[in-house]
Amino acid sequence: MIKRPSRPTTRATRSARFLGAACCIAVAIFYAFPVWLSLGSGWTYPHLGPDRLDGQPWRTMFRQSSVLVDAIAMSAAVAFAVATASTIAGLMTAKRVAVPARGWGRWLALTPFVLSPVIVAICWQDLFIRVGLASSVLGVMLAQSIFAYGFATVFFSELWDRELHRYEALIATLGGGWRARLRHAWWPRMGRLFMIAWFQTGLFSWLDYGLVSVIGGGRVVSVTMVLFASLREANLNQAMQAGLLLMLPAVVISSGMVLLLGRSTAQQRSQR
Amino acid sequence: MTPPESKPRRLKRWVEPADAPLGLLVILIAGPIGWAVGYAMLYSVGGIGRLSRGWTVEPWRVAWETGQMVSSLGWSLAIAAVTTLLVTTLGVGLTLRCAGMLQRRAVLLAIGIGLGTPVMVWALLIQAWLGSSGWLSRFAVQAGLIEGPPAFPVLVQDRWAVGVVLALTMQLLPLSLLTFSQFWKTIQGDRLRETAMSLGASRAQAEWRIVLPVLIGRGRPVVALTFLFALGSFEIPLLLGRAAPQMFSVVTYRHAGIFNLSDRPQAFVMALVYFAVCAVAAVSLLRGLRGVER
Repeated sequence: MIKRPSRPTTRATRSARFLGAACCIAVAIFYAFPVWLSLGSGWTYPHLGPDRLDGQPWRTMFRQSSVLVDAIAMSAAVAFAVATASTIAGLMTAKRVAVPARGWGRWLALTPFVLSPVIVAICWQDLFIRVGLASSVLGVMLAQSIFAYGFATVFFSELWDRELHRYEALIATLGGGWRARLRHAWWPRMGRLFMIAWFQTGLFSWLDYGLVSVIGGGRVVSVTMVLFASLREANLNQAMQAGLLLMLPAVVISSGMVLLLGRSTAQQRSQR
Repeated sequence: MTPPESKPRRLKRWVEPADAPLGLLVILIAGPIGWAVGYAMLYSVGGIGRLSRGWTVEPWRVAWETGQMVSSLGWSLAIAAVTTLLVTTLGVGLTLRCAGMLQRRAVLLAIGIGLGTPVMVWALLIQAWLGSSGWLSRFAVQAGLIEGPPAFPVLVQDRWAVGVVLALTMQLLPLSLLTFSQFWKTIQGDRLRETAMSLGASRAQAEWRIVLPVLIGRGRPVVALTFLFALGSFEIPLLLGRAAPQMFSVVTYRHAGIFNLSDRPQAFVMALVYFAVCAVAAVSLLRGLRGVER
């Protein structure tokens, strides 16, 4: 590993370091609290923490039910499928929609993105029932993909700029095939953005409650459905536990992604 | 001016394989969205529906006379506008002031955690921290500042939707920060500022008149999308909002409940009002995009 030469500490870097540390401590406290609550049972009023620190929610989960575990598997599978399909389709579409300045195409791609999923789902509900896709995983995946595809299209159409097209044209002129275009023009400029879009569409599906609850009709049990059910039971310890489980993969993926983004920036900087 | 294409040529262009993605766009988006709007229209005037007794404007009259349409519209727009203002100001402001810090690993990690936090968890956490029997209220009691939950300021399910706006801001800020700091890198904001300053501009001038317009110009779609996300938000107002007035999604969801079919046309009236608002917002967004291109 190459060690970077240490930069002289200025007042600005010190204050940036301090702010960074403060930011992290705030985040840590903010998220430590739900962990603390989920580790116990009860939360009577003036107490700052749970009444008994007995790990009740977690023990119950591992002992009796696999509902939560099943829900995690279901949500993950749906999110993966939705993200992959919609990102690739969005990328392909954006290439066509952005550059020839076809106003209507872009307008169309924007539509599902600007609409609230739950309201659209209510309007679709009867259609999904008619075609037999209501209360099915496939139906939920289809409904989510429509929204995610719109997002991916808009996302890429904003970033698929003329310069990239010129790069592509240059490579084509020099005799490069689609593989060369992918490697030298597309990936260096769009790779990170592709990952952001994939991650965002997957996250949209993972975190979705409106479409799952309306189109899934309670039959498709995602993690969000489990969380809402425990909230309805007014069991805050359990709700926190479900929230943490819902959050965990999303946070792991997103922090990993964002850190990758930072690392590649640092690399670019050192190359300069 | 180029001469108009002959008809067969134009037709040929439509069936070219390269146009397949556009076909996908039409099939996957225009169809379902068109269906949603058309269905809502027909339902709201009694054209369809299990309990429909023929064409009527009754649902519209009820929505207007109960004042629900106006209150829901105003409420949703106000919340979305305030949230967008907060998110954009914070996103651009932090990018301008601490662009270097936003590249630090610890801060990036914090942004990543925020970005990965589900909407429902934001709602849950805001309630648990700021609710009248939340952690801060308990802390205030323990510290002897107040005597009980009623003495704590109402911040959740409150009159001014503080909890809703706060949760929405927390939810949308990480994305805004991430996008604006990416734009900052793309436009090489620090060099732009240095160039302007070396040409004689003060730091404030360089930021306000050079860097900020470029940054906002690039980020205009993000701003518009923040507004539309906030406008269509569902889980946060469902958990943190008051019973009335409510935002579009919650009103529509409540009316579409399967237990009272006679209430269902109301849901579609609200859905249509919402679609109309979104159409206006989308058209202005598109105009904004064209402005950026120019």
